[in-house]
Amino acid sequence: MMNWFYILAFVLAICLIIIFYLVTKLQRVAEQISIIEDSLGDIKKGNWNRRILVNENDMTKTICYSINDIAINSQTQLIQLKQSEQAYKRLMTSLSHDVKTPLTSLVGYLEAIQKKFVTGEEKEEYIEVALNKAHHLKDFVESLFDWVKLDAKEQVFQLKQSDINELTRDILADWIPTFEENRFDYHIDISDEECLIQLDQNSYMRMVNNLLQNAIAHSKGTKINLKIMEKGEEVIVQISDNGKGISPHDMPHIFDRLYQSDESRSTNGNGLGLAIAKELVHLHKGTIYAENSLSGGTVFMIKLPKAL
Amino acid sequence: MLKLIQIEFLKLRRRKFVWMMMLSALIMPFLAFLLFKYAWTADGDPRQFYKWSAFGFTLWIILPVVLGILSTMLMYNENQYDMLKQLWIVPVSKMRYFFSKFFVVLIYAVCFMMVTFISSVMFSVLLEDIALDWGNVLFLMKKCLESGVIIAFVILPILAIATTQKGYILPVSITLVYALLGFIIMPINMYLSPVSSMAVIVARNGDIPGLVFTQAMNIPLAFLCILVWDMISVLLANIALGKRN
Amino acid sequence: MTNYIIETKQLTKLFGNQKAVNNVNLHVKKGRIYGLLGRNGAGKTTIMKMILGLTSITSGEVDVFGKNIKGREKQVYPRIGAIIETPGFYPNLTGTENLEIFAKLRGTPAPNAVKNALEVVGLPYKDKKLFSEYSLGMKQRLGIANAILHDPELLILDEPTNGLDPIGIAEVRDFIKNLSVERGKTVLISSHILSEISLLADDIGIIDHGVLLEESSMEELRRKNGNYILLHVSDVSKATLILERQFGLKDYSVHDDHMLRIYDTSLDMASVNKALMLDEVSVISSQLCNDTLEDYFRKITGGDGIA
Repeated sequence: MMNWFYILAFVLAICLIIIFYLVTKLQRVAEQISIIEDSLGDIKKGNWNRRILVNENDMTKTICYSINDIAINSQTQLIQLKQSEQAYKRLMTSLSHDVKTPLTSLVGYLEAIQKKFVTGEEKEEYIEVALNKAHHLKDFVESLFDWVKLDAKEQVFQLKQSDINELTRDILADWIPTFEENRFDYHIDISDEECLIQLDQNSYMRMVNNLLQNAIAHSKGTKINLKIMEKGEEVIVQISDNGKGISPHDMPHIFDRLYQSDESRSTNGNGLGLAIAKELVHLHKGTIYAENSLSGGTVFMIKLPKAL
Repeated sequence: MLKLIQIEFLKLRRRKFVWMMMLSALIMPFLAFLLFKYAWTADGDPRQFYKWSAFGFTLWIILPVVLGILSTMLMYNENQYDMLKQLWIVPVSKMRYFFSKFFVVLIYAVCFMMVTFISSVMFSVLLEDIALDWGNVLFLMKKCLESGVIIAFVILPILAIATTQKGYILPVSITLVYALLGFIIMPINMYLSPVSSMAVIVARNGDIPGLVFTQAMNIPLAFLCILVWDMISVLLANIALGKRN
Repeated sequence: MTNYIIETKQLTKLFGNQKAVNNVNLHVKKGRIYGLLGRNGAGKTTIMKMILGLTSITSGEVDVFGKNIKGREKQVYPRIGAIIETPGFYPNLTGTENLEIFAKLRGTPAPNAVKNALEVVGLPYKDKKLFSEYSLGMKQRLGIANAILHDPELLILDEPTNGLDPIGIAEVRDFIKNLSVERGKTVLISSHILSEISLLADDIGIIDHGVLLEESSMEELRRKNGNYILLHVSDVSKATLILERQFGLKDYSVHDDHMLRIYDTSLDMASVNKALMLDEVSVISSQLCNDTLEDYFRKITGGDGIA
């Protein structure tokens, strides 16, 4: 009789302990849920910095981590949006300047011609200048549209297995007259062997053209070198000049769109050439960077993976 | 609360001294063993042996001092580098903080007495003339558990004092004084000091042979004594922790 | 009003008879860095302790997130990360173990919170060095890691760069700036080093001997103390008329009946003087002033500058 009593009491005690444990656990979860409610309310109101803290063995752990992630991501997105907005505002301002200025100047020249302020040889000169400016403006607007398409990822790529060496030689063939016109010596180091790589041929031409254009227009040098190297799974295209190099102040910004160093503003570049080149290189999953070489002048390096 | 207790044990990592103190539980059983082997005889009564191996100095001196040092070390952990303010802004409740440390002391005391118990039994087996009687073994275990728990409560005031101190010298000294005082006051009035009250409770019903009391045995009063001292300590700790400079 | 993350009203603290903090009305705006500038012993740490509820308030109120902390500790403290005085940790544990204890106590917002926090401050994760072997700089960094472990909305940092080398100071500065500008967190930082505060703070409060002497935005302060021409004339109203109509000057402020500050230092003072004299306004003196922030601080604390 007594034994049964003790056993019963023991079992009862165990049950009570289990109940006690479960009740406390339930209370804890209820507390947590109320905290989650509060925090969610706060986050809803726009306080992206509100976090919910949990321990490793809480039941609501994954929920809370997820809520925190959502808050952080929303905040990041907001930041990026604001940054994009600001970037576009800057783009708009510099655009309006870059279009207005040559256009105003063009109108000035043409008005002078129309109102017969200039005659004869001077008039011919003015017409030539006006035509030049019009061409530059046309080039600029074309580049701009290319850029916008690239930026909006609307560019259509046709990747083909191509021999980069032969492609580059063809591009350079067309550049030789320009080199000579601008009094640039050139040295080309491209192997005779085939080097196959997946490329969109138009984009590659663009890249090389933009870099060469940049060197001729801004380096103020006398020699251009182009070298293609194969290194494992990558191909490296190196374009260097012996000009004045890029100042450390400008170096981090040269690939930004519409960035023109103070000296280059007066010349006929637009700030898009390098930016477009960079975007194209990245779309090929490659890298592009520039550094000043030890002997003066700048070296641009494009690294492209052979297979995408 | 469980979380806090778990964390307290984490904080004891690499504090070898704490675990070495546990080894001091082996002192008395070993000494008793030597004593009974070479000097005295137990006449086959295990309780005589237990009296020396588990109940004698262990309960009166060794365990209280060990627990006092442990309490001091636990509190010193945070007081040393003025860490408390970092804990409060987590937030950690002051009373929970205090009691989590108390539970560590409690668990430690129980473990200590378990070591005493096991080693006593083992040593008693080595002494040929003591029979291994399950009844006595169970009795020993019960008594060890009891005393472990009660002594933890008895040492609570030391924990409270350690809370108020930045250093460790004072609480440790007070522990020694406290233990000895209990001893000394016993003949006068057993219910003034918790240490002697503890003895009363453990030794009730003449459980411990040879321990004779000169006054009447009043168990509830003994509990009351311990309770009063503990409540005052908790209050003291509350004020000390709450005191912001 | 509800835009203040921290607001104190007539906050006062007496130690015996000494007024350590005297009627301070502090306002910390959301998403901005508030620099509390003052000499050692001016009361900065005491104010921060009172804001956090670590020290009892003799009189006055503190509102954090719009309400009093008392009674709402469990809800408010997890949203605050703080370093007060030198951060202390358990000497027998490594840095990672220390942070893991706090992570267990508080909870974390993401699974790798301890690893991330250590990465941010530049301390190694799960290495064997015990806290007792840490250098002062490492201890400070661990304190910062502890403060940011739970990604709080509000940071209260008491001289966080104390003991760091110049590179460390710059790193912490960049990190705090990033938290505020990019993530919109609010920071209350105290220092006695003027250059640090001026590089970091959006708003500044100058405190001396427990009194909040001035509270304004950094822009405002710079404007007040940038280069300016101090013009001492006989008739200020006539002078301002001439400056506005003849010189189109808008950037100036009137100091009192005879003093005028012109912030546009490119103004041709010769012609200004001439114009004024022609209109029968005597120019008593005209000088180019350049108050640095330090001069300003010295001036308003009426004393010996920064200690």
